[in-house]
Amino acid sequence: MNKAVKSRKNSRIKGIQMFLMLLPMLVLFFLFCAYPLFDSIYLSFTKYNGFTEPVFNGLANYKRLFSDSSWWRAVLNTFELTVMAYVIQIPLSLLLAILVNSKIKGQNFFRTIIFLPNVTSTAIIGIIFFFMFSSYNGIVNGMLQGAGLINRPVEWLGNVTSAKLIIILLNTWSQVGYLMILFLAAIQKIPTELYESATLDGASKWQQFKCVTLPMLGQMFQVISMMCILNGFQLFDSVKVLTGGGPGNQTSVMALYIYNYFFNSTGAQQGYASAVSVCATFITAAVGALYFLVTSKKFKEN
Amino acid sequence: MTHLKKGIAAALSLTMVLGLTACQSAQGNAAGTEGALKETQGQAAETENKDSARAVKAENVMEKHASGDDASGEKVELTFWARASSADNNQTITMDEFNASQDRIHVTVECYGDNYEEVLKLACNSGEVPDIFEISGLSDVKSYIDAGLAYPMDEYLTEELKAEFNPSAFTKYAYDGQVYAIPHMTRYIRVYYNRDLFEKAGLDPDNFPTTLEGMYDAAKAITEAGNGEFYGFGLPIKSGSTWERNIDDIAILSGLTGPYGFDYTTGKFDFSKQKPIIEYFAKMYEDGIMMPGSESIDIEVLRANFIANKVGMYFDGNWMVNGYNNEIEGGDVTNWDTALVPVFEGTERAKDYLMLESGHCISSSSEHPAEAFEAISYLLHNVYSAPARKDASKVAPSLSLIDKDNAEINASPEVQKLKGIKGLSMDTENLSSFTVTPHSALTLEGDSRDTVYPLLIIQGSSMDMDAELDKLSETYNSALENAVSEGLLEEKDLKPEGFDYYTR
Amino acid sequence: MKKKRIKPGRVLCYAFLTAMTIFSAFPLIYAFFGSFKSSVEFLNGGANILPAQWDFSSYAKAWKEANFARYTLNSLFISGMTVVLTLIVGSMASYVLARTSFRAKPAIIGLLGLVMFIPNVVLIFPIFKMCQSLNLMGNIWSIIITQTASGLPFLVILMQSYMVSISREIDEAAEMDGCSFFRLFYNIMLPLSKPILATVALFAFKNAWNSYLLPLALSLSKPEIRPLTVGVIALKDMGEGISAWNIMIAGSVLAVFPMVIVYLFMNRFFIEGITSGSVKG
Repeated sequence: MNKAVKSRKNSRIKGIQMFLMLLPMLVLFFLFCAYPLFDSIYLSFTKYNGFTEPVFNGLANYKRLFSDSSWWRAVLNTFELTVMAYVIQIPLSLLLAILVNSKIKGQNFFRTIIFLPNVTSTAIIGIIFFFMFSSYNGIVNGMLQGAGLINRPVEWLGNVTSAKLIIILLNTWSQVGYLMILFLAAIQKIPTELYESATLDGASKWQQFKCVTLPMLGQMFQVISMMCILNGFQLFDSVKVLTGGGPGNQTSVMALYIYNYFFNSTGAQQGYASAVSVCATFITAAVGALYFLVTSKKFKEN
Repeated sequence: MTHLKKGIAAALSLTMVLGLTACQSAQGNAAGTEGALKETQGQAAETENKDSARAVKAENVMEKHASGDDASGEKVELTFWARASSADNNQTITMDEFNASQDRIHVTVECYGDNYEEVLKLACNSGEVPDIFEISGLSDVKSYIDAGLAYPMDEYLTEELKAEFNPSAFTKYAYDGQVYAIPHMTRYIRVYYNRDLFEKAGLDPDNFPTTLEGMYDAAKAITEAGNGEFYGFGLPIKSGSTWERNIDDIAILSGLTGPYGFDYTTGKFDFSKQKPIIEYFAKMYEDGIMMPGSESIDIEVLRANFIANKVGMYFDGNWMVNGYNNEIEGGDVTNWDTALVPVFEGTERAKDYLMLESGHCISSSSEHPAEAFEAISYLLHNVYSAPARKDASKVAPSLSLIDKDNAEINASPEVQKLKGIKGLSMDTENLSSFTVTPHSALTLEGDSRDTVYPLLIIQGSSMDMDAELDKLSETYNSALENAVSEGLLEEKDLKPEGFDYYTR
Repeated sequence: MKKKRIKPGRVLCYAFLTAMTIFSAFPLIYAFFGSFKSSVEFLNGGANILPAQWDFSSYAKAWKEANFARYTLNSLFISGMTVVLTLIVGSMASYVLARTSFRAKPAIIGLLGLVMFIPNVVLIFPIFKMCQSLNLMGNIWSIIITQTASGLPFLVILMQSYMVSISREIDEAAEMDGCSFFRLFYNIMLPLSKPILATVALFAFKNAWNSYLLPLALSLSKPEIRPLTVGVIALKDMGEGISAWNIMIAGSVLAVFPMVIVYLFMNRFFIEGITSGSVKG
């Protein structure tokens, strides 16, 4: 009985400690995530210019949102770029991780340099990419022309398709090393005995990869993929610096579209920007939840 | 593992050291405004140093330094927020001179560059509005008045003062019969062209084409002569202001519309009237006459290319005559000139579009509105010649809203010697403004003109231009109706009685 | 015999890695040498990476006109403090989320997961309204706190999923010995989690260092608290009328290379911080 009292007391202390340890994060979370989100939702029902009192205008912003083709174009672009980034970056970084993990000379050097871009700022590298691909005086065109591959400068950033490719390129440049390291960490976690026994069974490298590496990556794969998707939906700095969404909003993405309405618009657009924000949040959350559900189920099956 | 431990230990101690230094720097912050003040004074002193070559100014410099030392006293301290991005700008220079010219008022100019609007809105939110703030053509005065931020300056506008200015100075930022700001400078558009490239293409550099057809042929000839080395025409499609500088300007000169496709004869936006001009540029683009990369460059890059003899011609503001002569590296070497913007053959030429620059509001929370106005007044009277004072050896042409000042500075021999001066207007006679430019007061519910036009130029042939332009007019007109019903605009201003593009 | 078979694959492997290495390093090399070109040469372009004439004036201007010493200090302080805050707040929270079960737990984890999917830009405007009402505006801590808050959800999930994978045997034994919940965390879980803490510290530092949007918005009214990224991009509009792009490149180099150099010297620690953590299992 004495023991039971003690354990109840212990569990109460534990409860308090748990709460106190969780509290700081919860406070930050509510102040800077939850409340701002609710604030956005509130503002989305108003006409607001950012400094005078918001005026309630019902669902007007949402009505406008649904017929705003430029916004849906930006949404489409975001999906397109995210999928493209995913399709390119996940296999590439996984391949790099495997190569770098194999016993080759200079693996440390390769690993170091390939990860290097990730320590730099995308916004600033965006400027550098802008110069490299500038159609008239960029070094890429300069080199291609010098090699006699093209006669007239290619308009990399003026053409919607190539501009998107360059956005992806920049994104890949800065992300792939990081994803590689994450995969590397996951791969190194796989017990080497598994590979040894697979080799003894006469499995080829590819079979080893398919039957040992991939399944063993498990949850880590899910996390890394999520990061990749997350990154795609957050795409902002690179697009802003490289194309600014142009020509004519054709390369705009959700984050940039919202930013422009919040900060670069004339008139009372902050209420509308909030409505667009709410919509963007729904879209991203839906995609995230969907991905989470689908993959969790799959991993459970495995 | 031991590696890691050491590493973490190192990282922790590093952050601790950082924490300490930061505490110190935070204390530095607490000392606050004093430090900031010193910094601005330092900058001011630096600017002054440049000037000190000028004997006339030397006295002022002495005075300034003397008064700067015992600054704190009973001096009225004013804060002034400007849109400029570096301290080396006309407004700061003029305000530094103002500080030096008397010892009752000290104005500290803070520059915010691209983020200016955001900063101002932020400040409005928290009620930390500076005594004086710049208000650009893009923001509507009424919001600031509604928010109780702008203070009417009518009580300070003496008849004497009013007589000095071009009357349009008092209409741009007026509301409900009260003046809230006065534009501090004016600007207008000219063609800048490269004389050497004209000669290389077998054209006469002394006779810039007077028609758009002629300009097209010239641009084509230059592109052909360039053979990939240089191109005929430059259009910075990425810059938002491009359309005002190129298409609006031609439309105004041709008596088609006002700025942003606004038609003052009907009081409505009508972008379809600008169609021939859009088609003109679209054709130029399609025919490969434009400098490649136009889609993604902004005006600064175009300017640099112009100076590097890569572009035959482009449209730019009158202030770039000063820019090229005095500021941009190589600008005085390249053989360039200016000319009037052409119109289509057979079109009667209307007056040039005089754009009024930003004005300055006095904050209604300012404790010293009278002193603030004194500073603004000094600015208005002196800012136009500030570029000239930056460098004593070269004087720049300017166009002030005070006509007698224009006459004075533009007649000086230094100005007459400047490159590109012949194409400029020396007075406001052939230039005219519009009292109201409605586009700046609108809350658009759709794509803006600046978003749609680039596409029309780049993908001109594959788009239904009429439909796009009609859609644009619709977007603007419905926003216009809202603005009128909200009282942001007044109907009588939109459709002035007996308006005529040629006699305005 | 075995060696022979492996060779072509090896060559391909090296070629591929070399190509990726060049791809990764090229923009930085280009920027580095570009910053020594004169503005005219830089804007004229061409295929040369090396400057025709070494011109150091861009650096002088960038240093003189942009307040770089200050920005660097700000960046260091912001990033350092963000790391400290993130580690303290995050590790405690993820421990609780990893080792206990209570009714609200799934909800909290779910929320954290969802928040990660809210684009940063959505919250910027309300966040600085919040900073205003907390009287944090213009204070460098506003950047630190919001930066920490915006990074936490992801990092907590990362730490939590790591801590879940640590065997419970040790702490169960310790709990039997009467070790309190917090002591368990402090004496057992923290040392065991060092690798992930290092990773998290690295992420937090890097993200804070490179963050642009948040500090841009929060330092609008106080240029003195700007970090490097914001300072450099503000260079874009230096000198009215013409953007001095070569100064900007010089500024970019100044902002990027300290991090690059630190990384190159400490890369073993950087990368091993991430990888070695996982080897322990």
